Amino acid sequence: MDPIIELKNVTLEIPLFSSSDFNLKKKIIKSVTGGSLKKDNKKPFVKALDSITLSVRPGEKIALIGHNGSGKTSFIRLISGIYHPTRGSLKTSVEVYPMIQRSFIVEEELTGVESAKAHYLMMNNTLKGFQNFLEDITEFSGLGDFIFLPLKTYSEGMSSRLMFALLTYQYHECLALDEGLGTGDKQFYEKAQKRLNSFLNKSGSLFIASHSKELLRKFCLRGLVFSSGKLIFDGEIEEALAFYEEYIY
Amino acid sequence: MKNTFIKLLTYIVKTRRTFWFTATSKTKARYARTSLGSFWLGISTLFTVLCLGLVYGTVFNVSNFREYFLYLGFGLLIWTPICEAINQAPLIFVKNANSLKNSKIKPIFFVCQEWAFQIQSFLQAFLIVFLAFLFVDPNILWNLGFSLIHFINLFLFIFWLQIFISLFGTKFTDLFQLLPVITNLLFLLSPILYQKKNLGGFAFTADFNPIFQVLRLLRNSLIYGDLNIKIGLLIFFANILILFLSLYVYRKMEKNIIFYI
Repeated sequence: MDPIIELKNVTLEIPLFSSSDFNLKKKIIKSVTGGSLKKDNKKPFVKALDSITLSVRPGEKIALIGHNGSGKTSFIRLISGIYHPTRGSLKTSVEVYPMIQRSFIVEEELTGVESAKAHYLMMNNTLKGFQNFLEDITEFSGLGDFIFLPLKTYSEGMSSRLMFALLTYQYHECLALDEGLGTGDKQFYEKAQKRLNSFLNKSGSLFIASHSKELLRKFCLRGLVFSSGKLIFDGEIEEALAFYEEYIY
Repeated sequence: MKNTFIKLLTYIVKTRRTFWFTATSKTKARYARTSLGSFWLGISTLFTVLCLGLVYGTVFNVSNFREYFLYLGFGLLIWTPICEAINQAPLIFVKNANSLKNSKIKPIFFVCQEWAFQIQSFLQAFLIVFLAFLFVDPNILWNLGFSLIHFINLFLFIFWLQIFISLFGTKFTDLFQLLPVITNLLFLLSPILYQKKNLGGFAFTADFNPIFQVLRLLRNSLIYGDLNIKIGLLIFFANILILFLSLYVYRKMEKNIIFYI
């Protein structure tokens, strides 16, 4: 089977722009002084991902392991097309859907229904089938008539439940999930776990970035361990988790 | 390059319903707690026209107040979306940073959304002011037919202007501070409140003022039924050309937008 995602020596550098970098005053001074104030052509940057080479086959479920700031989210953003490689080549033959969004597309003054409509339109470019979608997310989130109220009147738990319902309605060919997907209160937790399980199982290919070994073991067979933007291990999930344990201690 | 350009245009067309809907939602949100809702867009313009018309009509010693009210009213109506588009554009990407960093929504979507918002606000205000002006001069109803090309030119003008300003305004953050000063000056230096002849020896500056040219053609077509088809078409093709240029610049800068916000 041909790989659906292929990275060859991919490096992602995130430039650090201070306000002075794009300060008009500085630009004007530079232009009238013939650029003599320019100290260095090189701008400071963070190497978020460093020379990553790997390929992913259809249906693979991959765990992204590493401490905070190791490059997991940058990797998700890269394969989803939010970031573009600075160097190297990235080929994807599937749409990678990133599940890292934590906020609604519409303003807080608007209702849950309008938020759902915007989300549905964004996913499908049509309102065909919206009614079923609305019924499902209203029932699943347990919001009932609250769905007709403005988002700003929702508690944190209610917002999380709605967001969770919106994001997990549709299955995706390739899903990249960052941990910490809010699931609201405890009562909702079990229900959410069930839906998440079925949602993740049905997705074609899967990337999960998480610190939960339990979650990673449950869904993934392969593990990638990141450290300072480098891929330091690529192998079976148990080996990857063991490697990470050893690596951090 | 050609391929990515077509992809960008396809994306804009594909997401048209979504950005139109989210733009409508923005208007709804803005007037959510008011009893008159988006009617305020027209009412506030009418009130401004009435106050400014009385004061400046007296200051400029206007002989025909009826005509001056139309002149000022349509001038302000057309100026408002241009001014708002210029002032809001540098914030478009910053305001939507969360969605840009965490979802596959492309930056151009938010430019389209802001554009749709300006157009919707303009059309709602226009409808109310136009209905009120029908009592002042019923002939303007027929003039609407002569204005189509100039309406299109206004909408295209606002679109490419927003693309450029959103890109450079995000990169050069000082622009955000500078633009309100520029729009204030443009408003006072362009014949919107007053006639071009009031500029005296500086009247020629109005001919080189692109904002005034777009505004003038639409206003004259509405008040006097001036079709100006030749110049209208010329501006239309210029708008299309600059629009493509703005999309080309967008394509060049798109990858870096996420790093500026």
